[in-house]
Amino acid sequence: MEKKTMFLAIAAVAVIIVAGVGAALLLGGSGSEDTNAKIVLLQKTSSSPAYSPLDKTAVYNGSYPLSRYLYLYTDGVPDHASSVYKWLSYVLNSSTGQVLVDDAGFYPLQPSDLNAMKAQLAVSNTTGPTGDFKEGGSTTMAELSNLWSYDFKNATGITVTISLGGSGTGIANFINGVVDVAQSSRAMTATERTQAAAAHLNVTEWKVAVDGISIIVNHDNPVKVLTLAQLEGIYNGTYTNWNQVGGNNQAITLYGRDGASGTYASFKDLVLKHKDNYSQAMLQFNSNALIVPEVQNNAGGVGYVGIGYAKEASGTPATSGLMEFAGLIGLSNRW
Amino acid sequence: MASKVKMKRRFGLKRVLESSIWSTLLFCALISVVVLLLVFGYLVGNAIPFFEQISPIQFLTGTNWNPGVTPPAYGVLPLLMGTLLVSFVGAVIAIPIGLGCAIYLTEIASPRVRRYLKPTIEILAGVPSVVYGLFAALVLSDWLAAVFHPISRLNALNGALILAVMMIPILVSLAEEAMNSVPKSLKEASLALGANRYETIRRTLVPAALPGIGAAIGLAIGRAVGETMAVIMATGNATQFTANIFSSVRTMTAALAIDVQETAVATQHYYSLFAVGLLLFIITFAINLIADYIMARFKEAYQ
Amino acid sequence: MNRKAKEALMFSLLRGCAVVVVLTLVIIIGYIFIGGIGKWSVDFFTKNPAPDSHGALVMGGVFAPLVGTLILMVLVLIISIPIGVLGAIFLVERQGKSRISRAWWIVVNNLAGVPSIVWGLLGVALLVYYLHFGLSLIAAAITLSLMVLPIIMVATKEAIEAIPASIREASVSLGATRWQTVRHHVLPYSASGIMTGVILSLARAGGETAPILVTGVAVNAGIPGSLSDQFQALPYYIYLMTQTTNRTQAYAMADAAALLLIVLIVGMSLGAIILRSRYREKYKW
Repeated sequence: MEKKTMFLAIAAVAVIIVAGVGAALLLGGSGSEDTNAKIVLLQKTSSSPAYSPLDKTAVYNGSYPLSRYLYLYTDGVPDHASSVYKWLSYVLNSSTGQVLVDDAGFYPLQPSDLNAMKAQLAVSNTTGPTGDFKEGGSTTMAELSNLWSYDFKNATGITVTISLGGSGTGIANFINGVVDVAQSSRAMTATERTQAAAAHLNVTEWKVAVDGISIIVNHDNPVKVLTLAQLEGIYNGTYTNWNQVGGNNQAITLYGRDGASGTYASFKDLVLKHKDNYSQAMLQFNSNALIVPEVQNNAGGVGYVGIGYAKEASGTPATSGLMEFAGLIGLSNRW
Repeated sequence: MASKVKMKRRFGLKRVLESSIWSTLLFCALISVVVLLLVFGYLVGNAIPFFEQISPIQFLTGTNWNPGVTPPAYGVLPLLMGTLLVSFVGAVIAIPIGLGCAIYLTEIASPRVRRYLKPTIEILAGVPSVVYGLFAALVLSDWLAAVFHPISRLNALNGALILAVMMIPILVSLAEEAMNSVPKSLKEASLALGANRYETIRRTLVPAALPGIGAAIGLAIGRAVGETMAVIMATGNATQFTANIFSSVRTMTAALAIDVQETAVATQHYYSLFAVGLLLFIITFAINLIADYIMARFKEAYQ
Repeated sequence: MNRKAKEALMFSLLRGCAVVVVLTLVIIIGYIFIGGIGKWSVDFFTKNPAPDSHGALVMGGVFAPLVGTLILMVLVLIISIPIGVLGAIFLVERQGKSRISRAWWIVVNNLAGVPSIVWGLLGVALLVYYLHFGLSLIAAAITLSLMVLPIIMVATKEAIEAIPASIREASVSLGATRWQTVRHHVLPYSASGIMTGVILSLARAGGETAPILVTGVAVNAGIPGSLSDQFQALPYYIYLMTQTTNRTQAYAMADAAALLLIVLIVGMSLGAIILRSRYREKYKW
């Protein structure tokens, strides 16, 4: 009699657990890719026009408020024998490196900037490493530098080893001499330049691409436009509910990057006006790609990501026909 | 006479060989001792510059961890709370289940079941933490979100649950060992006096094995406190000071992993990380000490 | 409720605990298996990670991370095993129960419990910066070796101490020197325990992410040609795959790599466990 009850009890428990697991698997799972996030248009004030980061011209001419450059930092301008020189000329070439900028979802440099960089490259003032070298830093630029390094290796045989960690990490490593080139989604600060000078580094800044930090919200969020002031209020914790900025009655969940990130720093400068008052409730992520699924899954979520990641989040294709063209002219020997 | 000389020489050679072997062993021991002490010294030594600039009180009671801003804030409480929240709640979940499983293994399972179940649980112990983190970030968080609708999908409960999963194998193996080393005579005496098996477990076996079980709990909590990757991937890493299990938290280990990469050497931020590391070390040391004390204290009582 | 019923109820609950534990294992391993087995192919094992059209490193395979992890384990084996095992033997055999030795083992026990990220912090400060090894294979290998050293020493100590004193005493009373006792009587019996400890420590070192994250793992390194090169590793690859775009591909690759890592590490752990139980049956006292 006892044995039977025992077995029944076990069976009941097992069935409940399996049913629960099954139900959860059906409810949860990775259906997160079905609901795309939305990119929010930004306006400088409530009376100025609103721009989208997908608007290339607006990003280029600064009408989109959160435009920024992506950078590489080296120790001086290396001479032609150096592999860093080859890397820079590859990156700054409009038919190689700059095409891949498009694939990664960012915007290539405008001709004026590109020519300025090429002019800087022409005047070498140091020797650099020949052979393989190390680069590190920005995770925003991770996928871009993946494309670059892979293609560069196929073209020249030189391995550019990339480590991530955020722009702050890359710059710190650059200053500490453990990487040769830093990739950064923000400019070096004055303090960092001083530290670099103290380490006998001739800091040389290279603009390599243009980005528009994009604000993404959940698919079901009716908010389409935000002013910079509202964005600031959202991210410094002043606004805690979407109905305070024209949306539904839904608590705001903040997603952002961690302190090592260049995007974290750029956003702080551009939106929080250099004030260090990010809300403490902001979830901090190691990379842009982590922010996207969170926003897609959370009705009250808002996040800031580089334009390439926003395009992926909203289902916009990264390039417009350039990929097919690249494939045609033989750049498809990538893999 | 000649044989005596021969023997002396033979023993001489042997002696030399033997002492050279012991010298090698001594050398290895010295290296390990020196290296480990040096390492500990480095930890403490690099924490001192930090405490010269920031008072320990400020460090231990500040509720704002924000070293990247000016002026930097070095309050460790949010991190400490994050660690406590995930470890404690994880322990609360893991201890009953782990102990229950251990009791099952020692007392109730048939030898055949035991032979297959034990290695299965030890497999769980061998799974690397990043795999647990993967599961927590991708799957467990969705399940929790479906059931609890938390404020943030990655939260302290997610971290606590995955830590519980990581603690259970340790608890089961060590508690099982503790219960196995209780002398059979105690159990037999209890049964002889008319107690049934459950009552024997409850009133004789478990209390007798308590020191070992206490040590097991201590070690498991120590593991949870020291876990890095699983919590980084599971908890969202917000630096807020909160006790809400459904909100995102950052543990001390996560803060170390996130910050260590971006600090330049010999800055205040750099030294602050050693302070956090030292605090972590002190906490695990305290847990070990308590576990050892419990073991020593209760061992006398039941031996 | 009478005593018998109470016993039955509690026993069911206890069985339930075991069921929960087994279920957890089944669910986690099952999820990883189902998610990742589809990606296992010859290409998966022989190709390096490569970017897709957008730059996410989700194409290709895990050859470089796999080799990197194996190389790390070999280096840790070379660096820490001799020092740890031999040093522990010395400390147990020569120092015995002295006060210094007891204090020493308290230190070692605590160091064995230090979180892996603290070792990472030390590795960065000491090896990457102070000793100028930079982000490199050797910095990561030494960091992992330091992490594993206390664990190896404790495992060796416990394996040796499990041998009854009577065996040692018998050997000495028959005229053997100390070393002969160790070599012919202590070591053979404890060898399996020591080997188990070694294998488990190597498995632990191979599965760690935090220490290598900060001392030299890279996103796209090839097979390291020298100790100062950077490298890839399976745990880092898995971590990376949770942070790239193209999530369907990335998660599948993460699961596949996790499956490989589990097979590798759990295989080693299982091997150690089988070894231990085999030898335990052999030597019973």
